[in-house]
Amino acid sequence: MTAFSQLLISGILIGSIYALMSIGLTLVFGVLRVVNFAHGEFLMLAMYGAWGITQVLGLNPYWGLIAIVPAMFLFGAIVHRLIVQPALDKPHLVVVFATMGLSIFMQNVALMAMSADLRDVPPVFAQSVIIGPLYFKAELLLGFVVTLVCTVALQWIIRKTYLGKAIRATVQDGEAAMLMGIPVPHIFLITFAGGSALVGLAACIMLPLFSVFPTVGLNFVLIAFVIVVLGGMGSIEGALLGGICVGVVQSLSGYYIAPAFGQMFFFILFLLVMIFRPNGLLGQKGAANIGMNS
Amino acid sequence: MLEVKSLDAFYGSVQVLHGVSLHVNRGEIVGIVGANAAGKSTLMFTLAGLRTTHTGDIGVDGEPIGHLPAYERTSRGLILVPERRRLFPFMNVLENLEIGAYSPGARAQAKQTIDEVFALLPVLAERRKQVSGSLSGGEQQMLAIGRALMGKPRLLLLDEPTEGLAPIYVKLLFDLIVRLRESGLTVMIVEQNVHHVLRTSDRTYVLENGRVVLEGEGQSLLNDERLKIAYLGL
Repeated sequence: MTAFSQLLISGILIGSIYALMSIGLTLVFGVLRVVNFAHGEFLMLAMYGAWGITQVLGLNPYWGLIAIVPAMFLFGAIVHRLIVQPALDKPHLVVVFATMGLSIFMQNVALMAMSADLRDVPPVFAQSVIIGPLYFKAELLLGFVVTLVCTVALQWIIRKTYLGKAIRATVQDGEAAMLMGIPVPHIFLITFAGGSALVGLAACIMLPLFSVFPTVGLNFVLIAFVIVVLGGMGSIEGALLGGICVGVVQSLSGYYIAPAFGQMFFFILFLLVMIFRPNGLLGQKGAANIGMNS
Repeated sequence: MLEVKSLDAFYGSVQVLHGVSLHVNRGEIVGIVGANAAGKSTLMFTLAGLRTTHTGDIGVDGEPIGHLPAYERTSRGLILVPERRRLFPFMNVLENLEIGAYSPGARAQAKQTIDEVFALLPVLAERRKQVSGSLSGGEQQMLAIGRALMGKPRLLLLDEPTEGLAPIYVKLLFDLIVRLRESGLTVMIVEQNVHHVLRTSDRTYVLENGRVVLEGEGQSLLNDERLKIAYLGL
């Protein structure tokens, strides 16, 4: 029973980290209807940035948030302006290939600049947290708290602020939003840049837990896509739930069956959800089509 | 207030409007009528800055606005209530109204304007927490107009506002338009319901195949044989 509880809670904690990494992706899809295939490489870039800060300044990667989050916001804004925005009014495949091209470009630049070596940082906290018979890495617990705070804060912004309401209006009907005076192109830019900043946040939380290398994004982007679709495309709380489901399934199946089958089981879960709840666990019915009625 | 000169509008390479010129004076109700595919809604979209490319001049109070994106025309006082309402279906009535006051000038007065809209359209006050997608067609149309009023328009463009409405709501709507004009608002209305428009409007333009073929005072056009020809496409 203790082993099960340990695995369950560990799954929830690692799943929340996956969710944090996926929130930016679901936010961008929800508003722009664009799947950013370079999302994993944004994570890789931000992890290298945080790693660089630890090496140059000798700080732990959490301090890197102060620089990485705004830097990734700026990077996202530039990518949106130069690559995504020009493709938005073209056939959908153009933006798919544009972000795929960016993904390959970023991987290769990283390979040239950093080589294929794995880089990591030492654990930030010396000891695990012990609750009764259960042990947890403090970095995972911190990641869980950050994910919860981030999810609640984003929900508050989306529901209560004028910017959030403008984002929701843009999602539901972009043309009508423009008629209300909402600068939809600016909303797109802020959302894409904000999604990138969230990846920067996730990268700083993940660096003490995972090594960084040029193709690290590929390891995570597939999980992120599963989480986004599982939770419901465009749903922030859905990403949290989807992430936790993936983490728990991976954790339990890895222990009770075989570590190599962890991915297989969350893909089985994914297929079952798609069959019985095609809009995802918390997705809005027709989420893939709303906002496309113009 | 609104001056349109030699307006050509295009969807891609297809030209829909051909040299349309018209004007709307402050405090007027101006109707636009015509058969299906005459270019009425294209005219409204072009004035609002959506979908089409165009040549020619569009000016509001002497200021050219044809080069501005749709969201900047709103802050110049030109607001379109589009065909089929286009509400934000997953937002409630209050949120739809708040979004109507997004432009900075309107946002500063949003609380006061909401009270004015609720006084003008009490049904919206009763339904303020209801999701807009669940309102009846008539209530949705009232909300669409209320949402536009939140933006503090000087010229309100209404595109087919009676489409799909029960007769009682059609009457309420035209009564509302008259009351809005009495409060100083200028209104331009595109409508299939030609008799209502001609009775309500001060002047009416008749469009045929993307061209203005007739202009006159609403009442006098009611008996004009040329209107029947243009409107029915005979």
